[in-house]
Amino acid sequence: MAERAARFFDRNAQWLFPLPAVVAIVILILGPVLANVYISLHDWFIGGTPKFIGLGNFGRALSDLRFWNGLKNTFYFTGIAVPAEMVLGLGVAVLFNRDFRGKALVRTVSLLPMVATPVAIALIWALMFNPSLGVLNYFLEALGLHRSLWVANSQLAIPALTIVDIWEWTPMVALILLAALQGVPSEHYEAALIDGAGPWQAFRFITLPSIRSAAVVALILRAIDALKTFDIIYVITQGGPGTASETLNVFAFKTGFEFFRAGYAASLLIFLLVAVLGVSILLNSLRRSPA
Amino acid sequence: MRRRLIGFLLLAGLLFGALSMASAQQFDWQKYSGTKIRFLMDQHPFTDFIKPLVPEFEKLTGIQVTLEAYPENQFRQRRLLEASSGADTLDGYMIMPGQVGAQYLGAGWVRYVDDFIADPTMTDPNLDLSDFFGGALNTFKNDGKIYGLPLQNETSLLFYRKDLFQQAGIGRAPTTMAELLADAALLKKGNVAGFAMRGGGANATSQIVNFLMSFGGDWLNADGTSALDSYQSQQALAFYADLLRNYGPPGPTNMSWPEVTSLFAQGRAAMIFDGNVFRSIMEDPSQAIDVVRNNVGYAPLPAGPAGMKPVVLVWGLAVNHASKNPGAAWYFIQWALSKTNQEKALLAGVPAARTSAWNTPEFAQTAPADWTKACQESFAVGNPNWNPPVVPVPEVRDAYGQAIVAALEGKPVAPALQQAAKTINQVLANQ
Repeated sequence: MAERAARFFDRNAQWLFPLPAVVAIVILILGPVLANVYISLHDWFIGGTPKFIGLGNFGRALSDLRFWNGLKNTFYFTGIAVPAEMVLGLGVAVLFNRDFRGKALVRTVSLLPMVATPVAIALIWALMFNPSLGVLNYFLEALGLHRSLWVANSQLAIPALTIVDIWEWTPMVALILLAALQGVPSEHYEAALIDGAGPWQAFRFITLPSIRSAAVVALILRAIDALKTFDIIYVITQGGPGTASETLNVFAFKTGFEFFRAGYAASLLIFLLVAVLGVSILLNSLRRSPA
Repeated sequence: MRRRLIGFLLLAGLLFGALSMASAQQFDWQKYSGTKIRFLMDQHPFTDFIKPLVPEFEKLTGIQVTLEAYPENQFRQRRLLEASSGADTLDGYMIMPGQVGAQYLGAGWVRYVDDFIADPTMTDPNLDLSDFFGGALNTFKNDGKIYGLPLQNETSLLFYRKDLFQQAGIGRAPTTMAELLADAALLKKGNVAGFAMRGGGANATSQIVNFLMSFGGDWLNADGTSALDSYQSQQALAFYADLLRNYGPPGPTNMSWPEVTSLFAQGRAAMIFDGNVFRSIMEDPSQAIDVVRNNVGYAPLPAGPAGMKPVVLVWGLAVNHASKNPGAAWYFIQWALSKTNQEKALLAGVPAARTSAWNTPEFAQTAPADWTKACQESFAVGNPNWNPPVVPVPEVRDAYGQAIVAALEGKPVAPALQQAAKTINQVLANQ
């Protein structure tokens, strides 16, 4: 008996060993997603009884201007924040790849925004953005510039919020790219130097191709995260003024946890899930396509 | 001799009967001795105040009391769960009718106490309902029936800088909306706003509703549809937007109470309109600059075309509909909100709901006279509907908030409010 069991385990080890992990993934990841899909097919005011309405919530979203506004804001936010983080992150990585006095200290300090609690960060930025009492307008005035309304202005709200995201997440991009840069053998640069390449050419033809796949990874991670940004937006503007900075995620949160319309909120999150998946598949193809 | 004895016995019997009848009609704190009751409470200054006093009640009545307190969100979820499940182990709870009154009344989760009040053996002769502020007690009335008693009330007041008023040659606080507008124009100077108030969407609705009502508007029409597109509502919003756009601080759409109160505390606004409880900020040297602390004055909401119609935020205690011991729960409520305990509560910082508490000499020493007077005037007439009297409160507030932001951004008021009313009517039809 014991022998038979041992033989069974031996033969099926390749299935049995990953089994606990698979079970955990199914319960922790697939479970909530499926539950979300199930809820999205119902009209459910929390506290009442769910009523099956098929794809009714999805149809409602497509004819809801607030949904389109949220989708637009989601991509607007990501479209500003992520490219800026990539460019600045690359610059910082190149800088940190060189030797200078106090490099270790600067490098550690530059990681702080990423390590700090997002809600705490957002509260501090909310204070700094305050048009009357905030420190940002104080600096603008000291520089002889006009005061700004920052997040209190509908047109400026999203760009102002991206400043926080860029400040918070550029260090992560820099960290990933720095690791890739340090993996580039110095022989490549020496050979290029001998062949008469200038610094720009060395950067364009050696540095960039070498860190390409790390850069795509950083891009995908940041894009996914930026599309899903919730904390800094909710804390600083709650999606306001009006709905000027309301992303799909914030709209779904309000719909579910403030308005108690769980079914509609779930359907909004499925749209967000599809958007995030689509973008990450698109960006992932960058990694494989030839340079 | 014998006849006399019989007469005596008869007399004694009569007397005894009368006495025992009288005692049957008398209120007796010990009536429910031996029962146990359980109340759900918000983790609120009132709960902190009353909890240590509960042993007094237990000694007085022989009723054992459990007060279960949770932070507000958990408290509300728990109360919803227990009230909706009809659990008879819950005897009473704290409730803010302006928040969930429509839901709890609609679902029948409260127990009316009129039968207790009418029964002299059930109600302490010293209860004195007329001692509660009118606005606060009205909050607990539905179709003339009472379903609880208020434990505290809050309202919003006009905070103004007496020194700036003097410099501008204005000899009084504004008493009408027209005066408010004129004063704000005179007081706006450099980076000091004439007037500031919340403007950040949904969170502004609890303040602007004071303007709405004073201009003759309301949340709902008689048929239960949204009244926010009414002429009066348009007038109120247009007035508010005018006031803030012309004489307010920059970026009003970003402002909730922390921004409004810190503007005033830092001397950057000559007047603000917000919760009376924020007096504590204006008296705190670590939050308010000296010139503000020395010159802050208080006045009630200025009257609009329809009069002075402030709203009041009222917390109170109610008996759970499914309680097995509604009588004992009612005893607890009467005791917790007695004159003595409300006096003590006010001195402990809970803005009590009884007029007698606000009139004690002990309290007069602790608060500025104009603040006390402004509060009392507001409490007397306050309207409990600081929120719309419907179940989906947050969605209605959000829709109104969108119109507020649009108005502050200079967009026309009428279409913004029509849009809000349309959204609200859809929400109400779809609950």
